[in-house]
Amino acid sequence: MTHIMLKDALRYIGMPMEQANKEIIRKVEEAYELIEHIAKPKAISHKLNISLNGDEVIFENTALKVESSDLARLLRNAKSCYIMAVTLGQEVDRQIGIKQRLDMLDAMILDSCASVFIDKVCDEHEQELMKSLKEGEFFTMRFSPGYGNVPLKAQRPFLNVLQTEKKIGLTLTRTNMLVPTKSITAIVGISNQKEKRQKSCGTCNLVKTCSYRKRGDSCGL
Amino acid sequence: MDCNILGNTHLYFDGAMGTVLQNRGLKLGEVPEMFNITHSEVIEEIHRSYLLAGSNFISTNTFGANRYKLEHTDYTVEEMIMKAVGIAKKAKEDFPNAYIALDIGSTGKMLEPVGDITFDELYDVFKEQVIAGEKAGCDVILFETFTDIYELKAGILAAKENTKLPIFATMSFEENGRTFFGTSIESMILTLEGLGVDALGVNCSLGPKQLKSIVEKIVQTAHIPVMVQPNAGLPIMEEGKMHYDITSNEFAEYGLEFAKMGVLILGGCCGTTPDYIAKMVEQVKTSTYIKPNIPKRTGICSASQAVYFDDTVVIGERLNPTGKKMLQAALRREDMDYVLREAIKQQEQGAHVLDVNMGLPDIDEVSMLKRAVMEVQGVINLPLQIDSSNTEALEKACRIYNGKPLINSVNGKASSLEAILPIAKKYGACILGLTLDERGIPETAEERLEVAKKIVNAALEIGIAKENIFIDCLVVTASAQQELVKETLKAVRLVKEELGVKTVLGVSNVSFGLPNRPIINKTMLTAALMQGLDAPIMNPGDTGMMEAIAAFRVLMGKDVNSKNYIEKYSNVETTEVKTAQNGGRMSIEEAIRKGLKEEAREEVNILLESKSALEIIEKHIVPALDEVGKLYEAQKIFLPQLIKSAESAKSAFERLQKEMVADANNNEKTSKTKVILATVYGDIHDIGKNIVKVIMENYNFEVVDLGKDVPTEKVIEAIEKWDIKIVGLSALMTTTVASMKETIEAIRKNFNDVKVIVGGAVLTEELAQYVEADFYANDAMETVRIATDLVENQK
Repeated sequence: MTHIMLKDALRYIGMPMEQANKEIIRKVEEAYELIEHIAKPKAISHKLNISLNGDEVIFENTALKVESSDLARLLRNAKSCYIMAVTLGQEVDRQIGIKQRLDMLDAMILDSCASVFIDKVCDEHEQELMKSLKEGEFFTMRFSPGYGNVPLKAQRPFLNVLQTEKKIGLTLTRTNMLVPTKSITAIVGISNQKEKRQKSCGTCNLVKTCSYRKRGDSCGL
Repeated sequence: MDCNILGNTHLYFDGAMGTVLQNRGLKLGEVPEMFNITHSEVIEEIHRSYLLAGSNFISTNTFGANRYKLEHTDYTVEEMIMKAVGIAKKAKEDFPNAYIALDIGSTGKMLEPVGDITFDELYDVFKEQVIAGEKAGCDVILFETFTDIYELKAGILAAKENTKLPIFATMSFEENGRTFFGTSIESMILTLEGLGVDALGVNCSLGPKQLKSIVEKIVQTAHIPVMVQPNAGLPIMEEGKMHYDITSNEFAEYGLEFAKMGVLILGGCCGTTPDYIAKMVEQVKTSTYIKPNIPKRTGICSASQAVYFDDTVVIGERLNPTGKKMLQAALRREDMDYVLREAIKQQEQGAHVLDVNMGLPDIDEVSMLKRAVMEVQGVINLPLQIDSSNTEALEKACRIYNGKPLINSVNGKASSLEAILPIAKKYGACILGLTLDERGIPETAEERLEVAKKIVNAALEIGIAKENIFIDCLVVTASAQQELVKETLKAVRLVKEELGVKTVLGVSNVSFGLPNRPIINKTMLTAALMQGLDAPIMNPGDTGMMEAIAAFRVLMGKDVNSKNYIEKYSNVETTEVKTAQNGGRMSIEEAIRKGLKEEAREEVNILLESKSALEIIEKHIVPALDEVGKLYEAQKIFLPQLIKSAESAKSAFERLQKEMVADANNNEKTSKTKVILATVYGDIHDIGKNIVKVIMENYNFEVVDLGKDVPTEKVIEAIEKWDIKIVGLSALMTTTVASMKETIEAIRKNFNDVKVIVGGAVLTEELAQYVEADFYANDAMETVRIATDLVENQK
């Protein structure tokens, strides 16, 4: 467990770092150990050429089109992109379910650690893809359906293109939520210039309600 | 198709459709079935080229022709299947001996409780497909690329109940021998053989090289024809195009290897082409099919775990309300969390199978048993023994059971045999027969053997295999019928010797009415094991009995080198020392403040010696919780500490509840306010709601927890049923706020005195007004405060 992983987990469970006692830290540690043991991280990605038609992003040779000014702006300097999906698999969800029946604190910690963990898996996959960049190519910020004005309903065609159900066991509910829940879908543009990669609260849908912001913090993404 | 063709000589399926279509212009993410309409000549040509390559079966281009995936096309499921089968028929005009398989892939939906689709809905989806397929003239139904045995079961039931077509079923495994869903090879085989499919096996996911050990295991476990359709190796992405890493020649070599192992039906999946199939057919034709001879074994399973009765199997008895007041009370208030905790506990204590019985005179057993089985199988890996005397309850529970269950029970009465055996046969369950009939429980062992014979014969007659039959020779109480105890033991031996079926006993009945029951139970268990008892139904928390089994397994040479015994018992002394060291006392208030579960429970035990349960709650626990609440609101402590305190108080309450259940007068004095909590329809994230639940339960509320993804009607019904005045709704995503609004509208329409509190990640004061809730709560404590104020005002 790295320091950042501990910090992120504590933030998710609403525990200020300086207040965290040994016992909480040990519980976080144990949760990460359990996740290492039960998670079956899987990732899939495709490199696709893209073109823009106003605010519509067209992913060439696929059935995928996304209407979103935020996404179009993100990809304005990009001719291609990676779309990707990562998941920790079902067993993590099941264990979070079991823990909820036995002890809510353990459950909340496991849930939070799993969220940190899947972000890490996604970061690592992105790092891996970054190696394929040629000179003069740069990644844009990573974006997901539901960010900014990228509609959540883009999840379905997105998953279809990646065949996530068959390849990594990732599916959607009828309301476009990912199952297993500890999963991420994302798109990252390949730009011809250096891009700002840090996310900001300005592009976040939760900016008004965010409990991290209320206490002067940020979610860390 | 005449199923007699299965078993004489190797048969060949076709290869890939999807990846071939991609090379013919199908875009990623497009609906492949649309090619049946737009490029029927391409589909026909692909079918014909596979037939020319030597395939006996061609699979229609209908993998995703279900109502979900065709939703955004202009075609119905029936239209699409008719069209696809029409193309296949045309392609095989010159091949009169070839067969058409209706190809059905997984729907891409996840079943409850993980996902949001009911078993019945999925059944209907498949029903639509199989009826259309039979009508269109298919010869066989092929379910393929499934990763969830539960979804596959819905499909098979739909096919069995609505068509006369043979069924082939294959699943996709990872190299570790499990599917994405965790379905194991044994579970797949036990379940599918039970349901009566005609061939089973593996397809897709991996190349033949990686599938080798999986195929080997399937061939060595299955008793019915095995089918294998590997990919053309592993995929490699090059310049945006997918390639596979095995040539057609290598593929053919592996095909021959599989054929020699005992695989009957061979074909290909992603990346294979007519060339792969042609070369494979050529190779395999050089070998002759030899049917593997696999010994029969008694086994049941959950989706992920099989239990074989080759060794002593412990069946946990704790999920049966008979004589258990706490469980009775939990079932009356529909508290499934209590049921699940009992299930988890038994799993941890070492049970191998759990008995589930929901029979109480004043609850709806049919729906309760179904619900309990669904919930328990959602969190527990152990196979279940479904226990009821109500035929309808058994039928419904077996139908939605995820795996192969053991039915408890049938008996020698003609009416019982007639009603129960067909259920076991249909759902492929094992059946447990009680040695009693119209005359009651016979006294002598010989008479019980006669009843057992009758049951075994009746089961065999309707096609239940002998290895799927269990007999319970029935334990009587030693205090009432002392002389009959040894008849039971003798009957176990006779049944083993003469009928050769597995035996079960509810051992602890024997000690009823005697002091120090554990000693009698343990001794009875040992005696029965010596007579050949295979599976005691018992409390896995009874240390003495578990020890007796561990010792028995050592003495009988089943625990080789005493490995398990040593692992389990070599550290016993040290743990005892540990507990002794924890002798320091703290007040209950302190235990709750610090969130120490065991200490809180222990303190309650001590306080109970001098005080009533009610007094302990009012004088000790409530003030401690109030203090914790204040500390939290003042940000002196944080959410994790609040929850920890709540959990410790909960454990104290649970201990006190035992006292209060025993004294029924207390119920009125402590009547709590009932509130409903639900995560709204469409939303499957419920951890936030469950945190609110734990906190509320500590502040004198009884939570009716409706779970996640709750339809509006269910909320309305529950308000009515429990006479609720306060409802808490949670939503995590913006997209589900709309269903929150709908739910609240319906509540307003039906009731004028119900207050609604809303919360969840996306909710704000503004959104709460938009959905017309009465209150917005920012966190769990605020919910408690709002609800407490409401209760005060009502008074």
